[in-house]
Amino acid sequence: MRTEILIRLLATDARLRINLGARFGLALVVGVGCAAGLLLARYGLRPGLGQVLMTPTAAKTAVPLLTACAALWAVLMSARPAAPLLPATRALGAVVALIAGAFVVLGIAGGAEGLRRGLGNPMMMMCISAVMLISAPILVALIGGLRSGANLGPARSGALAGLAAGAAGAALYSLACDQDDPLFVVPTYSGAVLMLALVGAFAGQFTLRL
Amino acid sequence: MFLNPTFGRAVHWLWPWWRLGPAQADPTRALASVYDEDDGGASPAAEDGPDLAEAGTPSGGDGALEALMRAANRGDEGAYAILLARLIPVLRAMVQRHAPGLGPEAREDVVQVTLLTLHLKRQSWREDLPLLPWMNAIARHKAIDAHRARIARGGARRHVPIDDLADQLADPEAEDPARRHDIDKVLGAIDPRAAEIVRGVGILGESAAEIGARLNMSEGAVRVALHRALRALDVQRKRMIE
Repeated sequence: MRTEILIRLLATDARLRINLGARFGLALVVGVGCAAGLLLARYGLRPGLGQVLMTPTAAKTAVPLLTACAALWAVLMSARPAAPLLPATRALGAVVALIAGAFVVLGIAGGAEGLRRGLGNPMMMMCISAVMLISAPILVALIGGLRSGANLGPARSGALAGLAAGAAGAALYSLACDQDDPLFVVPTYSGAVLMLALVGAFAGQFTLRL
Repeated sequence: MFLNPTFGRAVHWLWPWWRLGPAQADPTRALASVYDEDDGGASPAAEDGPDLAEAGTPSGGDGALEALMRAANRGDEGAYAILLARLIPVLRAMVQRHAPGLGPEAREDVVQVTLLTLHLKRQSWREDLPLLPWMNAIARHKAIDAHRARIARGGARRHVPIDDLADQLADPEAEDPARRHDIDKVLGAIDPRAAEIVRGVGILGESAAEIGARLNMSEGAVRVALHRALRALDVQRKRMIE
């Protein structure tokens, strides 16, 4: 086909385009809405949630939320070719370093007994599955939103979407979870988030190709 | 090659800023170098006939392209047509730079695939950023795809001096008989009504309203069908390159 013909076709198809940020935001709202509905229907909120959120235990919700925000920023930048991705990846790296650092400090403070108690908690698999379940609709919605972007690295975009979805799901699940030991929460939620990132990378490889 | 490709991809994934080659870091400089290398940059436009040549060359960073793109994203057909015409020579230069090993037809295929991608993904351009780095990143990606496909097909061909084939080459003045076949092949792969719309707009130069009257469709329905047809063409084009 001659390029001039193609240009005529494309020019005729010019019409109002909704910005990628708006599309992505809408996808996020739908995904988080579905995830919140799933959380309430299946797990409910933990008793005394209002009081818990006034204590340092609120970090269990705040840190995943912060991770989700940084990952969302990064994923949106990764869907825009030539947009600055570096500040977002640095922010995400800083949050991950903060979580890892906190785990090391708490691990040293808790000692071997604390680590054994946290990592040996029989609720771990249940919590990982719950976070993954709650995160699933967010991941599906984010990948749907990302399909209107131009993902030059589909696996990378998918992994970042998985990270964002997993972290948002973990933040939501923390409202239901009554296990507050940081040596349990950090590895459990991080494990679930990493698994979501792997799922996202795999899905992105096939669904987000430019 | 001393660097394993998988390792290279992993490094790129982990350190995205390493991907910023000179073209992305400073597109103006990159384009300038392309024009230096390609003898002024006017020649690609001239190949496209009077319509595109009249549209002139892209502005040198005064925001005119961005203004046109913003207008296009708000539905201004005229602005979009001017923008596309201005971008074509730049895009050809970019593809030439990113895919110097491809032949002219393969490069034009990459230009068309890139154009379609730019069109279908234009909402991914951030309106406060320059347009050309965004376009260059997509063109580079498509050129790499084409290279990979060529290598996968075993297309790293032996060099044959053109003088040896002079008596077999087609007359450059004559109409390319493959072109009509190419259009028919592409249109044959999409819905017949959509193909009729594409033919009407692209070949006969009809407006959406005229096609609507002819096919007993509303103008809006013609536009929706055209958009779907373009998406289908994008898929077809990708398959043809791969």
